[in-house]
Amino acid sequence: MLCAAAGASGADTTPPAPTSLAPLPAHVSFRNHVIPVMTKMGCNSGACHGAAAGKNGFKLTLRGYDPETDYVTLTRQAAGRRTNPLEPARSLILLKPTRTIPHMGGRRFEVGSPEYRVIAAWIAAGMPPPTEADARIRSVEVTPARRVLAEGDELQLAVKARFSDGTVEDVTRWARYTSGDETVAEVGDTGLVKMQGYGETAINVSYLSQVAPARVAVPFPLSVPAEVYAQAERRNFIDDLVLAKLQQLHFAPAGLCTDAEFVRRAFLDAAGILPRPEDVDRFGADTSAAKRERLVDALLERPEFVDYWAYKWSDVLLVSSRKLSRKSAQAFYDWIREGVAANKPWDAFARELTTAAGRSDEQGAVNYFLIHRSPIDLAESYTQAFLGLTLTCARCHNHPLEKWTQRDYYGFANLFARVAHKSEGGSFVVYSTPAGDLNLGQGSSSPRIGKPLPPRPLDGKPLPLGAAQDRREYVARWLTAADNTLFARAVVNRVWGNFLGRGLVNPVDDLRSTNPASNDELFAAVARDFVAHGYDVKRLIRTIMTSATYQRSSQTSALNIDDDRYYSHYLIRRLPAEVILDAFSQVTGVPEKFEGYPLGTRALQLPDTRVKSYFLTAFGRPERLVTSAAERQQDPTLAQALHVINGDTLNRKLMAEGGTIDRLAAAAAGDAAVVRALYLSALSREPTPAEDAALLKALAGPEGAPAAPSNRRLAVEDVAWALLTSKEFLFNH
Amino acid sequence: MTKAWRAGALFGGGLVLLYAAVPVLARPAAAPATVRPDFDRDVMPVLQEHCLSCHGTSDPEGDLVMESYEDLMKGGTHGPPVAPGRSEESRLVMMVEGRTKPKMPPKRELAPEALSLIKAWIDAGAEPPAATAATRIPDIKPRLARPSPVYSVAFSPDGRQLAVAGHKEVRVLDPTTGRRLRTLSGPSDLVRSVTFSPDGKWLAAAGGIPARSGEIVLWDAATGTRVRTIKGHRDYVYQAAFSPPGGLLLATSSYDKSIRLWDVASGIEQATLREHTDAVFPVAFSPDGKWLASGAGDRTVKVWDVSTGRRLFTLSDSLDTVYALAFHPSGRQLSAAGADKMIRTWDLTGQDGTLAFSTIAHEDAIVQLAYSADGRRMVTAAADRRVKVWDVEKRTELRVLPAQSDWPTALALAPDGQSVAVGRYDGSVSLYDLASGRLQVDLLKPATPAAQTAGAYAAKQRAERDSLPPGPRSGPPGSAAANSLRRRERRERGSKGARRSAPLLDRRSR
Repeated sequence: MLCAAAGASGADTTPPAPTSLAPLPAHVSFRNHVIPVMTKMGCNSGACHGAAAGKNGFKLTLRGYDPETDYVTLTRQAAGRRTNPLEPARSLILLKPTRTIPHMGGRRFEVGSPEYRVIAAWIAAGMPPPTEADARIRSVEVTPARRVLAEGDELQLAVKARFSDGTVEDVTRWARYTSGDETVAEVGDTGLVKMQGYGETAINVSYLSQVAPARVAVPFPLSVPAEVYAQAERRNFIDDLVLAKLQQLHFAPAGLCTDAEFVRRAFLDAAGILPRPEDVDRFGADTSAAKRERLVDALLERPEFVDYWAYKWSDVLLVSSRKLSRKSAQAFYDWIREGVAANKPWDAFARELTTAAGRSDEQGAVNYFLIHRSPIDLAESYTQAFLGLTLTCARCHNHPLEKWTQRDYYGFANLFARVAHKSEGGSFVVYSTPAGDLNLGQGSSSPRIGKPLPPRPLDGKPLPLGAAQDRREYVARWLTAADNTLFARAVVNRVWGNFLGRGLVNPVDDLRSTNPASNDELFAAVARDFVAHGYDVKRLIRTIMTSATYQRSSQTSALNIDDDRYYSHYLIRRLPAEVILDAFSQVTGVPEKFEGYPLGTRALQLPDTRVKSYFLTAFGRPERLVTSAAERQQDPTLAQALHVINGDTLNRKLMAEGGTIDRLAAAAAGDAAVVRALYLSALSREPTPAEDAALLKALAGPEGAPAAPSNRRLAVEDVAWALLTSKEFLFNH
Repeated sequence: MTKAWRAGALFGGGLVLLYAAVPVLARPAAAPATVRPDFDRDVMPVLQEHCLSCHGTSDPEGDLVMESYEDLMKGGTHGPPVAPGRSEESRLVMMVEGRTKPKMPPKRELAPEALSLIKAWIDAGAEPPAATAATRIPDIKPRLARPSPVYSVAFSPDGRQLAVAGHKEVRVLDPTTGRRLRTLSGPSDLVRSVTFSPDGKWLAAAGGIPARSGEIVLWDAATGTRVRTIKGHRDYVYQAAFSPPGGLLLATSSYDKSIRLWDVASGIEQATLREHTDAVFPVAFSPDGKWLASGAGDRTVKVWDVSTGRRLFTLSDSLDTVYALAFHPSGRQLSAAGADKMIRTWDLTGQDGTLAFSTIAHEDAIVQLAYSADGRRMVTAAADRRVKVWDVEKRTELRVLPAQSDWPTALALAPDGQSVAVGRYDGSVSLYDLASGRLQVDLLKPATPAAQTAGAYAAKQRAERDSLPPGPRSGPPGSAAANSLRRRERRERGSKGARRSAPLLDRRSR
C-alpha cells in the first residue's frame, strides 16, 4: 500500500525531476571559475584525480596548477569522453560528481547547485579555453583579517579575489580554508570559523594560486592589569612588539632574570660555553647600569663566539668529510669561520658562496658545489639554507602547500646547471661553463618536457636559455636583492630561534607562506632592521640579546604558563650536544680527545661532524646529510639519560687524574670552597644555604670525622657528578 | 566585463528556486508517517562508504559491482544479493549480519541504523531509485549551435563513399564533392568510430554512453537499413574493426578496458579479451585476419590470436597512452603512436615483435595513424594540429598537410591511395591529395569561429613550453631528441632536400 501511495515517484522527500535550470551565467572563465570549483570540490586533490596516477584513467593536475593541460584533459582526451558540447548536461563532469551515474568519489555537488551551474554554463558556452587574455589572480583578501574572539564564538570569513583586469569577485564559496591550529579554531568549507580554545592561529585561505591568512585569537582567561604592560621593562622595539602581542592574548611578561642567570644564559647562547667562576664573580661585582650590554659586547668578541657560529653555519651548509676530503672540509670550514670572525655581512657571505670558483683547498666556499654536485641537490639545499623553503615536493609534482610548481622547480634548478668541476693536482677546481642546461625527461620524476626550462629564480625573471651571463651571479643578485624578504627572514629566524628557544616561525627553516610567524609584526620588524643595518649578524644578535624579551626569567606564573611561543618568558631548553660535552670538559678540567685532532680541541671547534663521538651522536649531533633544522635532535632520550648517569664520557672525566676534581679534593681550602667552586663552574651561581648544608654533610663523611683522602676524592666526584647530571646543568634557563 | 553574475545569477540559488517552484505533491491522507526508503538517498551512501572499494567496476570481488541499483540487482558469481521483500533471505543482509561467511564488510562493521535502512528498503520491495538518471538530467542547450566533433571517417572499399561520424548519426558523403548521400541515424550518443566491412556490405558505427554502456549499430551499407544494435560493453566503444578478409567478426575496444569480438551475422559476442589494465583505444586486425592488435592507456600494445582469443605478446615500449595503431599492409610490421608523441614500428617475427624504430613525430599527442594501401606511406594526425605524411621505407617525414582548423581527430586513406580524408573536432572534414599534400576539397565546413578558437590557446601554450631551446646540449647526437631538433631546424630553414633526408631513428643501424 505504501508503494501505491508513493507511486508518483519519490513521494515527498525526493525533489521532482528538473527539466530546466534558471538561466545560466554567460561568462565563465575556465581558468578563474571552473578550475577553482573543481579544486574546492576536491576533484583535483591528491587523493582523487589530482593524484600522480589520476583515478580511473582521469587525471587532473594537482589543484589545477596547469589549466591548459586540464582543459585538454576535460575536453579532448580519450575522445572527449568527459564533456559533451552538444548536450552539456550529459557531460561526465556533471553526471559523475552529482552521482547521477555511479561515481567512486561519491556525490560532490548537487544538480543545480552553484558548482553545477559554473561547469554547466562553461560547457554550454562552447567550453571556452583558457586564453592569454584571461584576467590573472593578483591577490585574495580575507575579511576580517584579524579578530579577537571568545571561546565558542563563530566568525564567517569573506574572501574577495582581485584580478589583473581590476575586477573583484566574492569567492567565499570557492576559497579553501585550513586552520593552523585546530585546538584554537576550526574552519568549515564555507569559511565559518569556530573558536575552540585559547590562543591564536591563522586560518589559511587559498584561491587559485594565492594564499592569505586570517588571524583569529581567543585571549586566555587571565586578567592582567594594563599597568603590567605599561610598566614592563622595554629596551628596544622588540619589547614593544612582544608586549603588544602578550597584551592581546592576556599573557603577563615575566620579570627580568637575575645576573647569575643572565651571565650563564648569555655565554651559552652566544658562544656555547659556560662562564668560568671568575666571569660570574666579575659580572656580579659590576655595578654599572649597562653591564648586561657590556657583557654582550664582550661575548661577541670572544673566539668561542666565532667557534659557535662557525659551527652553526657549518650545520646549515653541510660541512663534512663525507663527500669532501678532510683538507677540503677544513678549507670550507675555515672560509665560514673567517666570515664569522670578520662579521661578514650575511648578503656578502651568501653572494661569495653562490659565486665561488677556484681550487677546493684554496677557495673554501667552492666546496659547497662539491658537496652538492647536481643542480637538483643544489636547488633544494640552497633554498632551504638561505630562504627556509622546502622545494623538494615540487621535484615530482607541484608543491601541495605552496605555490611552487614543477616548472618553478626545474627552472630554478637550471640556474645551477653550469657549475662544473674538474680534478686538478689532488683537489678539485670549481668553475662556471658558458653553456649547458639541466636536461629534463630523463628521470622518472621530472616533467616529461624533453628539453630544459629557462633558468628562473623563484618569483624572478627568467634568463634566456642562450644568455652567456654567469647564472650564479644572477642567482646571487636575486637572492640578496632588498625585495627578497625571505632571504633576511630566513637568517633572522635562525638567529632568533638560537636565542629565544623557538623561531618566530617554527620550525626555524620552514618559512612557507602557510606557516605563519607567531608574531608577524615582530618578525617583519626584526628582518627590516637587519636589512636596514647591512645584514650585520653581530648587530642582530646584539639587538636580540639586549632586549628585555631575551632577558626575561624562565620562571613562569599562572599568567603565562600556557605561553610557548609569544616570549612572555624565557623558554628553557636542553643544551646542544657539543655544548654539554664541552661544558663537561670545562668543569672537570679534562678535555675530550677527538681522533685526529689535538688534545684540547673542543667539540664546537670540530670542522667536521664525521669525528667519532658516542656522546655527540647520542645527544643528537646532526650528520649534515641534508639541509634541515630537524637533523639536530634536541629531544631527550633514554640513551642520553643512561649515558650521562652510567656512561664513560662523564665518569671518566670525573675519575681522571690531574683534573679539577683532583685539585679540589687535594686542596686545603675546605669543603665549603669545594662546593662553591663546583656550583660556580657548573651552574654559574652560589649554592643555596640548604644545598650547602646537605653537600657539606655529604663531604664530611659518616661521623663528621675527616675522611680518608681516597674517600674524600670519591665524595668530591659525587658532588660534581650530582651537579653535572642535574637538569639545571643540562638545560639553559 | 562585469562579474556581478557570480553574486547574483549564480549564487541566486538555482537549486532553491528550482525546487521551490514546483509544488510539493499532495500526499494521500492515509499515507503512513514513515518515510519510504529510497535507494539513492538511503542505501547508496552506505554502499559507497563500505562496499565500493572492493565492489567497484574495476576488478570487483566476487564479480559483484555495487555502484548502482542495476549493478547491485544483477549480482555477481553468487547470484543476486538482494531478494526483494525478503531482507532476511537476502545474501547481502546475511553476510553483513555474519550469518553467511565471510562477514561483510571485512573490516569495519556497518552501523545498526545503516543496516536497518538497507533491510527496510529490501522489505519495501527493493525499489529502484525514485529519481532516475533520466529525470535528474536537466535540459541544457549549448549557447551556440555547433556541429558534432568528427571522431572518425571511413571510406567504403570502392572509395565512392565516405562515412563521417556524428552526433547520434552517421553521414555518408560523396568524397569528391561532399554531397550528402545518406544520413544514418540510430546511435544514442556521439559516434566514436565508423567502419565499412571489407566486402563493403556493412557499415558499423560504434560509440555508446561514456561510463554507462557501449553500443554498435550495424547498417546494410547498400540500403542504409539498420540491421542491428549490439550492446555489451560497460563503457563507450572507442573503435570498431571488421576482420579481413570476409568481415565475419567485429572487434571493439572500450574504455571499460576490454576488447570484445562479435559475430557480425548474429550479433553474438564471441570473446572478451581482458588483459589491459586501462582503457583500450585502438584495435586493428592483421591483413590476414589472424591477429588482432590493441593499444591502451596502460601504455602497452597487445597482440592477440583471433582464433583462440589468447594474447600472443605485449609490446611495452610506449611511454604513455597508445591512441592509434595499424598493421603494415604486408602484415610484417605494426606501428603505434599516442600521447608520448612518438611513432614506434615493430617487426613482427613469428610469435613476437621487436622494436624496429621510433621517433618523436609530433609536438603533442598523436591521435591517428594509418598506412596507405600500398604500404609506402604512413599518415599521422596529432593534437599539435598537424597531419604528417611519412615515407615508410626511408622512415622520413615527407610533408605536413596545410594548417588544420582544430585537432585532426579522424583520418582515413582512400583505397586507391590517392587521397586522405581528415575530420576534426570542430566538425569539419577535408580531403587532401596524398602525393602533393594539397587540399582537394572541404567536405564539411568548420564550425563557428568561437568553436574554432577552442583549444588553440592550449595548443599554443604547450607548443611554447615545449619549444626547443637553442644550444648544443639538447641531447646526444643520434638521439630521438637530437634528430627531432635537426629536423625542425631544417624545416625552419626551408630546405626541402634536407627535410627529406632526415632519417627517423633506426635502432638497428646503431
